Amino acid sequence: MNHLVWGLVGAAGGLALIYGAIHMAKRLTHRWHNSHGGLFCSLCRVHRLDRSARRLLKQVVQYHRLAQPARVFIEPYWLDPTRLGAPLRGRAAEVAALRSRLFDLDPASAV
Amino acid sequence: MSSTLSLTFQYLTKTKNVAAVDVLIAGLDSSHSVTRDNALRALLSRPDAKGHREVFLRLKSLDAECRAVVSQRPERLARVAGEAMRNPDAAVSAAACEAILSFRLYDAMPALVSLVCEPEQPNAAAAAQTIAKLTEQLYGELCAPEERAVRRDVDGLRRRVTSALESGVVKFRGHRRREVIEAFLLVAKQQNIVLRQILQHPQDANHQAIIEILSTSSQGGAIRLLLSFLDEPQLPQVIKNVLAVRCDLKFVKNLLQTVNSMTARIAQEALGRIDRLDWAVPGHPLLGKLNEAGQRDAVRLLVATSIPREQVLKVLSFLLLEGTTEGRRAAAEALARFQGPEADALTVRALNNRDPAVRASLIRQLRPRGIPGAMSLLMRMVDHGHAEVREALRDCMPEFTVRHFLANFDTLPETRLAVAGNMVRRIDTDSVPILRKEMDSLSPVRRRRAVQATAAMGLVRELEERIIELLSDEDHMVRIEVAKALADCDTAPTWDALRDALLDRSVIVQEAAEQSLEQISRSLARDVGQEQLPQTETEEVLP
Repeated sequence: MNHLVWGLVGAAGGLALIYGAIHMAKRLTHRWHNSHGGLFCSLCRVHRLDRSARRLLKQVVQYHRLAQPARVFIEPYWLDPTRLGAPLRGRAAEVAALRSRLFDLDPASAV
Repeated sequence: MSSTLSLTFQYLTKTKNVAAVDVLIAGLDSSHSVTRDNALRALLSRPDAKGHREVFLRLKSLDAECRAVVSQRPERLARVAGEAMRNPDAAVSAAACEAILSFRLYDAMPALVSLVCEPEQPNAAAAAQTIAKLTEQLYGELCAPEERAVRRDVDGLRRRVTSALESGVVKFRGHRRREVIEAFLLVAKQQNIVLRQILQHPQDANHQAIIEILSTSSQGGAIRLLLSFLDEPQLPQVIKNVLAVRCDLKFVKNLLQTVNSMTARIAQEALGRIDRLDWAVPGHPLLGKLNEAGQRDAVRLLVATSIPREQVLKVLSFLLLEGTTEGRRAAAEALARFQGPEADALTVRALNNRDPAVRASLIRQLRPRGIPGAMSLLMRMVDHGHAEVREALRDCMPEFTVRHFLANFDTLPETRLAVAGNMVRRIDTDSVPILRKEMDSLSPVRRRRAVQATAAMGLVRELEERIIELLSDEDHMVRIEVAKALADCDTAPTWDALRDALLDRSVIVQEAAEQSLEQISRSLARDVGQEQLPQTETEEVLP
């Protein structure tokens, strides 16, 4: 009898754990889908950016300390190679190419 | 815009990620104009109030292009504008009022009305004024067909605005804002249930306010509403009273135009329900302010109403004697519908009017009225120079037309022929062609009568050529009358023709011709004698 009770308690605990895990996952997903990070990722997906391009964009965002990383997708200003600091100066050509891709702008032109 | 950037904004517009709003708000302040415009469009397309609020705060600084973008979706800002109106900062609420009016945010109406209805709301006065101006703008759109075409559902918009204003009208006792009532009357239709209920219940707190505004408002919408009641088979007594007391020129002009646009039967039915108009008084200043067409229409309106006939007759008398040309003419025509000694006296009194059209109208009324001495009055006017008057005289004295004269010629006593003929000649201006046609008739009796009538009317000279031709007529009775008639004509062709007639196969014609020649000779001798007489007198006087 004791085994049966313990078995039921264990099953209930397991179910509660699973429910809690699912709930937590849902909340995290929801939070992610309503976050600036999530928006940035979604836009990367929309524009089919590869891993290196995403990484480069993240670095640009970090350099400019943008609270809303998705701004790099709507304002060409942030991807202007002339405004990049020392850490990114070596990758200016890649940034210019990315800017040209996202805004259909001449890679050489500064904003 | 590049296709990639377009893709970005499409995603930002549609995504459920609320972080997109912050990104788009940041885009509003971008130095990149394409980004700015697209961020604005995306924010207006999204339902998030936060984005709308940010757009609203930047309205003043938007350039023309961006303002055009906002104008395409102004309803998005309505809620925010309503919220901004509640801001205790006067500058913010003033900016909200300005935005509401410049972008025609009609959907902000419920918020404005609710603000006005709140007790001790500091911005209530500004909100009331905004309601009035916004409704005027809507009324302007309703009246302008080209603007109706631009906006898709104007009637639906009107219903929404009216419904919002209804709640303000119902709460009038609390806020006492006249602007709300006036705005309501501007867009409401006469079938509106709230309006009907208020009009039907004089004890209603809003009744007096509605009546007062309907009686005094010069707003086109309020006047339109008032006049739309004329289409109803049962005109409410309160509306009847309002129609009666309004004496302002704008309203009366609109009333006259409305009546003019109705068919005669509908106008008669609608106006038949009106039994009082305060401006229907002789000498009322309003009558003097009406132009030509206005006075004419006023006469028609007054005649169609149920106002006591004596009162209408007094106004007609005033207009007939002191009105404009069109007013006088209309009054003269309308006078025909009035009987009795006063109308008769007015007809005779106005008969001296200098306007021939007025005279002609009155002349036609003289005989049907049975006024004593009417015939002599008419006869005194037979020499009037104006064709219209002569035509009227001919119409009202059919016995003095040449056809009538010819038909009754044989029954008239010989002593009265000359007098009657003279009258006919002066009244019937078409005598000569008719007589000429009659002389061409196949019947010798008619030809003879035509010659006799010509002589009686003194028209032998005018028809001399044709009469001389008839001196060769196959019927001797005709020739006799021709020979007699030519006695009145002392020209050389007549003289020669009569000389030829001395050789006519009929002795009676010869005798008649001889008598006529003698008469012409005597007449010529008399004329010569009269011409010589003054010469002799002159010779006697001269030394």
